[in-house]
Amino acid sequence: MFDGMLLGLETAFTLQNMLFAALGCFIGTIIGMLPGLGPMSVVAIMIPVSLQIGDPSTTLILLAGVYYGAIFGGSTSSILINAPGEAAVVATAFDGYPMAQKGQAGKALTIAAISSFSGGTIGVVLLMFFAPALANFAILFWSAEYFALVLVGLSAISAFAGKGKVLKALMMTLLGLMLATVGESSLFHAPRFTLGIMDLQSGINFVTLAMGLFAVPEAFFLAIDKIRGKKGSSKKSQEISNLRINLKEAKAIMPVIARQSVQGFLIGVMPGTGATIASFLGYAVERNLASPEEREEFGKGSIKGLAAPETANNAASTGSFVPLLTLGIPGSGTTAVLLGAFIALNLQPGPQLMQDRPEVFWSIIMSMYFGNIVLLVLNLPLVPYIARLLSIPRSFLIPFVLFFAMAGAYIGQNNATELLLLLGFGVLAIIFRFADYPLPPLLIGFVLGQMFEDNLGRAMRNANGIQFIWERPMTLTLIISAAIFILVPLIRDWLTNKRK
Amino acid sequence: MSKLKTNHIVETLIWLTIIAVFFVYSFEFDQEIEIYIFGATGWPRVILGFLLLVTMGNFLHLYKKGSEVQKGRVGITDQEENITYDSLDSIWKLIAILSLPLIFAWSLKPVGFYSATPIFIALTILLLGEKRIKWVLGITLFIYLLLIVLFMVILNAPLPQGNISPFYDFSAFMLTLNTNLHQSLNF
Repeated sequence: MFDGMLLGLETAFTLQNMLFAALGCFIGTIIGMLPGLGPMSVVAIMIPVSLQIGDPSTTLILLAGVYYGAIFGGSTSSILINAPGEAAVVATAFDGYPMAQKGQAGKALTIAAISSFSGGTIGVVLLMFFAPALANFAILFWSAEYFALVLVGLSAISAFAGKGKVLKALMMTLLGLMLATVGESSLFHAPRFTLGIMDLQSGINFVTLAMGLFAVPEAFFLAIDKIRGKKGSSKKSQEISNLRINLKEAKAIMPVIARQSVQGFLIGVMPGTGATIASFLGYAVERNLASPEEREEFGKGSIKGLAAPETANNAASTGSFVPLLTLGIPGSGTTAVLLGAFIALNLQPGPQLMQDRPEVFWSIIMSMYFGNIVLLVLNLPLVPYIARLLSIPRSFLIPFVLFFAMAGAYIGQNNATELLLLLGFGVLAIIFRFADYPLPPLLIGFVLGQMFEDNLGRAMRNANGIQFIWERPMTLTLIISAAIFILVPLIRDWLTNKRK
Repeated sequence: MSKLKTNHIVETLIWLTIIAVFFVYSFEFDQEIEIYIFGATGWPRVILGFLLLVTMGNFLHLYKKGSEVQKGRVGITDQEENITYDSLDSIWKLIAILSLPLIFAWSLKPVGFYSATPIFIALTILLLGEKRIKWVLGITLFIYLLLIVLFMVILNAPLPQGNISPFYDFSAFMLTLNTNLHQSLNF
């Protein structure tokens, strides 16, 4: 293994490969910031260009850089304009956006950069030493365990349980699960709730829903609000450039980063789960572990609430390379696109890759160290400038977000129905905001809905019933964990109210 | 004593209507599937069942405690909660802001993306309160160029070209420009 690492170091740390890793990170960050374009689209855009390079190691180093650059870029648009272009960064907006609204955009972006760097780097260390062993662990996960894991991810709605909101949050989650049933299931071919519209057979596009729920209402509230419309959302420009995290804050987020790096990585290792569940779960776990005062801050600009999903999604992105590199199984949509790049380069990822092409296997892993450092070095100095996006008047920023979202939605499915859906979800979101319903649970339900149904269906089919719940210890443990995540905050609130 | 208000009843009725509509519509695709014993409607109906239970639970909660305890919202700051608006003007703006993307979507087929986009970007900026024409034009051009570079030049995405002259001719001109650019860059 150490020979392989040395070979990887030798290959990855040539001037050419370092430059391409840096270029990949830069391109990924810039394009990832644009609303409507997630890491999968960015990597797909870059594949034809990168194949021109010729050298497989360099090509894959560039694409890996684009991947984690895009994840970081996506967090930026979540934090600054509440427009998550990818499911994995939805939870980042829960606390990142309120921080930006309070004039702490600089600090939020710094925390995001540090958390991403830490999650990514710790993930690479784990990837380097435990990849083959973890690959064997990952294939022990069957549909039953995946179903239970999704259930744990859904327990993130416990974050909305405070102040009697749990029922409304549950209603929104169930509506999200319902929307995820639109179109054909992967288990059978029968179109559901498509209203006879062919374009709905493939289901609802995530970007359309996310932009409809967040960007359209934002445009509406800006249009009707005479005060906010006239200026940028953040009034305190000196606070935008204030990036410093004090010692107390650093101490507060350090254990969060440590926990979520490991947890996020382990979740990322499971094929098909990836960064989305990792980020939601990271958020839910940290909220449960926080003190009562800190818990009150979650959802209103908590630094722990921001650090948790940011660390977890980056660690999970690194973790998703485990099944790809060691088993040849893509762990997420983006790694499925990367698998295409491997095949185009005449490489077959899997157990043989480490033996037949060790320089490729190890150089990708080693380049990730460099890529993570590049991301930090590249982004930290740029934070004050990126944060200044907030001082751009909203009347310019909103059309930018709206039209990118609309073009992204249109291109995604290549039909105008997406634009009508975008609008429909926008109207729905405005009504929900007036009626005081939380929108993030709807998105959580939608994102995890299809995975939930598919795995529950498969598990029940395999076991011919629901006995898999108690027959498989791992499934039972995960379901109990989900129940604890949901019940603990409820019981805690109930006890607090009783004492009052 | 009941703390129920009219809006709570309306809210619950809307949810019940949503559940009923989804349930009734589920009969449209109610079919047995050989490889899947729960059929196409099994899972959606389970969700609807839970939704009905939770809706009734929420109604009971509103009946006993009202909505006072439900204040505060994740992802929104207190500052943002206090939106100042004029109700009559708001309705007009709501209609305008929702109509624009609708008309934009409708116009894509006859007018095409290349011609419709700058017009609608400018209209959106004007609607959002910007009155300085130079700024409106400048920002429209900036957003339009970014969209064109990303979606046309880099992604080579098949954007709608329209079918009415002169819009179609303009789209053809843009696509020729793109082809020439790709050829000259050997891209």
